[in-house]
Amino acid sequence: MRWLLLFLPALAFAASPDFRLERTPVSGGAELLTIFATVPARPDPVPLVTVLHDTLGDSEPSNDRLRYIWTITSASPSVFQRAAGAIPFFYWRPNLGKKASKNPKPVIDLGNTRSIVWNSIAQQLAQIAAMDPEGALVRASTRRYRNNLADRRRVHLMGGLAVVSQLEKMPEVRNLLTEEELFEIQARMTLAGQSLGGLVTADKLPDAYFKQREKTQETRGHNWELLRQRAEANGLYFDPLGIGETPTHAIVWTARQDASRENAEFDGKFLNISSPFGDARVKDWTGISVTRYFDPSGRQVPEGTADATPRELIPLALYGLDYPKIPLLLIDFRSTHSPKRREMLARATSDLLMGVIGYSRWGNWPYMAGSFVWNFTRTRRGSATNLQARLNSYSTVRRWVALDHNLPETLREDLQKRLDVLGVNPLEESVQDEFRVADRQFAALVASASDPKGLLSRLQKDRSAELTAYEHGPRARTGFKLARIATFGIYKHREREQGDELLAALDWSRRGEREMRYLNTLAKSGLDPGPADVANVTRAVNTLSSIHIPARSAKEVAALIERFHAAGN
Amino acid sequence: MLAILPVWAEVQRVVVLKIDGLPPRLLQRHKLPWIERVFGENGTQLDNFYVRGLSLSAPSWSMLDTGRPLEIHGNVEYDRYTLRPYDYLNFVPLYFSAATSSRIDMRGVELLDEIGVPLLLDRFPASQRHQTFQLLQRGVRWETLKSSLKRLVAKAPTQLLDEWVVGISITDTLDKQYEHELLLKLQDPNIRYLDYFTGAYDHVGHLTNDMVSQNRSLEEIDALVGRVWSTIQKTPLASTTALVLISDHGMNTEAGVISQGYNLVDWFSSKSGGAHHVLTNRHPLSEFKVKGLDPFVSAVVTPSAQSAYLAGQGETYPTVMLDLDGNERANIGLRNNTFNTLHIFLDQLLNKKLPPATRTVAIDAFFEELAKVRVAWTRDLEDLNLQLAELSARIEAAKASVARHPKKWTKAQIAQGIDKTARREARQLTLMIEDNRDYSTYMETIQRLLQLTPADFDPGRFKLTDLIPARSLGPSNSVWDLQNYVTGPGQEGFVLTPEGNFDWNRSFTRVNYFDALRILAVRNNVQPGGGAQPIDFVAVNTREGIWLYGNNDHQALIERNGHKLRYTPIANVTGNPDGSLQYERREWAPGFPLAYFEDPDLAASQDWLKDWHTEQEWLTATHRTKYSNAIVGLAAQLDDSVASTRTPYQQRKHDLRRADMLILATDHWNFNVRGFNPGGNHGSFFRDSTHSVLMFAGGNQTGIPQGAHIAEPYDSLSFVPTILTLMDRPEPDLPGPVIKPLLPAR
Repeated sequence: MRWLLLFLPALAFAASPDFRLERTPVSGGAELLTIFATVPARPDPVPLVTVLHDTLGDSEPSNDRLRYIWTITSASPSVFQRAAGAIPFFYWRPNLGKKASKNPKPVIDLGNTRSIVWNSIAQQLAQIAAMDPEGALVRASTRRYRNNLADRRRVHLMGGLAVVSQLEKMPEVRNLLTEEELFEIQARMTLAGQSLGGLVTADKLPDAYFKQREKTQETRGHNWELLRQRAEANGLYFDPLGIGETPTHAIVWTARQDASRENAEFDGKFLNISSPFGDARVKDWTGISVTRYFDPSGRQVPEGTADATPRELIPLALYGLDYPKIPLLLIDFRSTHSPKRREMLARATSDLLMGVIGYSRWGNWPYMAGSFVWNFTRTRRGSATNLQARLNSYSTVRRWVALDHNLPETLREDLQKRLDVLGVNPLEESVQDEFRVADRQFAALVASASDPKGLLSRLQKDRSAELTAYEHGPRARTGFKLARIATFGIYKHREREQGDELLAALDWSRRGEREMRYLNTLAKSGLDPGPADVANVTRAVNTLSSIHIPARSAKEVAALIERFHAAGN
Repeated sequence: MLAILPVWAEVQRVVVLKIDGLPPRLLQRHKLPWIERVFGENGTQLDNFYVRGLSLSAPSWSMLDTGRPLEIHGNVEYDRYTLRPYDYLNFVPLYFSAATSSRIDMRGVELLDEIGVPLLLDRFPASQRHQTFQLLQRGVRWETLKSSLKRLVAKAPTQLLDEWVVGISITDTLDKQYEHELLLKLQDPNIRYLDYFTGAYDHVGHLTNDMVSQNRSLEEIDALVGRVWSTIQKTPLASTTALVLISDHGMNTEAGVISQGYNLVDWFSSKSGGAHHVLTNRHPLSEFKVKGLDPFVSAVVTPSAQSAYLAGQGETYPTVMLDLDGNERANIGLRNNTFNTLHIFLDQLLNKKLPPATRTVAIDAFFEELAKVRVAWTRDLEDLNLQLAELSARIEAAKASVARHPKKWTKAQIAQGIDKTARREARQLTLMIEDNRDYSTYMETIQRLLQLTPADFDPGRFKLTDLIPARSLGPSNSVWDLQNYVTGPGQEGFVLTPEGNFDWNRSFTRVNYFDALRILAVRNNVQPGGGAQPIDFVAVNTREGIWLYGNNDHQALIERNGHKLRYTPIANVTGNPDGSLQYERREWAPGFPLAYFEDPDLAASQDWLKDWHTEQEWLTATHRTKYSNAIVGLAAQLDDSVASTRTPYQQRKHDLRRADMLILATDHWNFNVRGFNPGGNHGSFFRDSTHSVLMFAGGNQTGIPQGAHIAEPYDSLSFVPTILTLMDRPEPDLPGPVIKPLLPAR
């Protein structure tokens, strides 16, 4: 079937999906902040990402804390999915059913980002020590399962991050979250995709946010230009798409009339597609196509422009622009399965070497060296060798395409279908399935918010742990843990403060930490406080002078107060 | 008012913060607390400070650091005769050569030393100055590198982990180390000149148009200003210290607009561009090549697969050199047109089996072509011969002097910098020897060519490289050459007219580069408002003046008469073989290059444009227009008719570094090929690119006005004389005007 559509690329950025932020109170002094988006072809907005914002029940932003982030579109895999996920060399996504979780699991615990890193390291060690020696079958299936789980988490993190990146453009967000909190959410989501990202300290988060933002923007601009120039050099048509300020993906088209240029030169470098010139699949194309209008100089113009001639354009490829260095081929319209085959081959090689044969880079130096040289050379020459970056790009584009109201419906559906083909992880589901499950997931979360044994209970535990961390140093906390283990759980350390006292204690501990962080940052900057800093320094010095400071921090706080006392008064 | 001015004004120390590419309009848009406090409230800001010449780092800093007219015209230059690169940006070879004591200064400084042009910091003895890493760096800074390495690793484990995960930046570490050293040196009252250079903003501005990222970089500059100012205030010389913030150019960057690149390397190596083997200073798309990691590279040839007569000879015979850095412009140097013609003749006569009749006529035609240049080339070789003889004498003298250098230097000598002076002398000797060798080789080859006789055309008698200099562009091209540029033999090879004469038209393939460049356009121009044509106009230096080519009907001539310039609209320029031009005069109207006539920001009447005016008058009238001070900048960049103090040999070397054409990009286009600069670019004469930052603030005895703005326009030439005058060391022979509103108490 052939579709004739008309749309201009400039219009792609004229509007974005309608995002809104909804606030749901949580008993005990917190709130769920949920980003909803209107999704094409769905009547109601879909909840995408939720953040638990612990406000201590007041309207003072300085004592607020972010707790958890849920990507609402992600539900726990079913038993069958998990079983499929453990099959080596199984790179398909069968529809094995998915139930919305009764108790959705957060994708990040912002109060304890370290635990996931240590868990991962422990799992890795267990894999090496316990699973790998058990033979090829156990080794291959456990490794594949763990990789699939990690990939699934990454896909949801990046899909969520794409949505969260829109937060700063929503005016209502400024009343609900501070700039620091916005940085924290985005930085933590980005870092969660890195092996040791959870260990990054809070002080470093603004830096992490800005570095990541700069890198992402650079990459998109770079790939936009690379793809435009390659399209130009090969006589193709470049069409950038996306929802944010910078395009995140692009389609490259060819004109049907050019298909008969049998001997036209074509250099597929960076495009990673075969020549469309003289290709029977293009000549006989019956799939989706668009008609665009061009003036005598060859420049695209709106329909109805004098002297404009129409040209029917046939899509050749869809590229993600977020992959480092090169545009990542996601859809080859003439061979939808070809990018998937490449992905499967890359995974199969890894599964064969690490899973079946049991080669490990760290245990086999020649293999490590050879693998490094091979990958370095291929990357240097523009091959997409980074699996994690491929997943990141795929996740972002998948999400944007699904939310893009500016794409003609037929094109969007076509793109979504083809992107779904690319899925190689049995633990994942299609974007539409994710949207379907999101409503139920969100309802479960809201129910949990009002359930005393649900979020509130979790919040109380977290708050207690937070106060313990503030009052006691790492040694003392380790001691508490050891005591609990030694007494088989009979002993559990609890802070004295409970109920309102706990909230009051957290109020000053959070404000104290915040002011310490502020003064520390100022001290590290090497700057004398300027006129704009006086009010903040005064507030910080006064706050720290008036609250209870744990003994381990007293010296540091005293030094800060002494240093900034004069400036603040 | 008079009561609050100091009785006397004195600047005993100057601290210059050099920020590459910092655009004033972003500072105005994004209010920065420290810059506002230090320069806004306590200092003086120049609202209209401009680059004179190209808005490009190497030339621009060279003028800011010397206060002299341009000696450096691009980020890289090549000697036309020898293709020896003058790579002003690459610091890696310097550090490697410094390790063996064979070099000590950046290439730009070596060049200025050779000509005898001092830097601003040269006015201060070694013990009284402190310079950080920069393009015109004098001396290497091993200690800084060592300390930076320590700074990189000597951190608490949590900090190290943070940096490792978030991303370690060596550049940031170096910048921090430079700043640390600057702040330390501020404590030393003996040091009277300190500067600090950072390219951090320029880097970000090129790579992304994201204003959040750019603003973050501006905030870091603001914090730097705060730290330096606060430190100065705590030093004994605070009251007599002037702090200066300066940038070498602006940045044509706009949120939401991606700067589009046009690949001139690909175009010149294509058939329509002349199928050239293209010489550049870096590998095109170097990030995608293993060879792109070579830190020493200064000359890369991209061969053309379509060359009609030089196939497979790219390394021996590159035929065009491109300097593309900066990116909104390109310096293009094409091989001498007569070289091409003679090369094709020789190739056909020596390597192809021509019919006997054609061969006989072609040999005559070859000598006819050679005769056209024989007089000029012979004279050139005679001059060169004399100059090389003088050079040889200087080499001998320098050898004797260098031989007298001790093998080991005492601590006292090292403290005085005598060892470094000796190494500079040795380096200049090396450069002279290399020049002598390379120019001699060129001279010998051309002599052999000129001495050819018809009897010499026996196959195997000589190699082509014996007659046509390898890796040489030869003498520069005239407009006629560029309009009739020979790129290969004709489609049918050499052919004769029906009368049996050599058919000059059909025997060669020619390109008119002005027409060919004008019609370049892209189909993938997907941003609203952007032009499909990447080239705005082409500028060429001619005997008549600087010729600006927009299209056949819209051209201009910038003429010089002493210190006055005139802009004349013209059309249909045709070059004559003797180097002169024919053209038609046009009335002023919209559409001519630089668009002054139709620019609403022109501070003069349209009639005013018709007359001769001084450079300052042009600057005052045009600086707020879209092309700002382009007329002065083009004259500074291309016009060599102003008397200089160069010796004939220096003048020759200067001329040999010149390109044939300067191509200027259309707004939001660039010519970068090394990688991509989607964020923004500079290099052109657009006001966004030429408008630069210059701000002064000083202690209470410096007399620098507080809370002042100077609206009168100034350019790069004013910086050095102003600093020297502030420090009571005026040098009246410097050509730029002093910024007098800065000196109210004098």
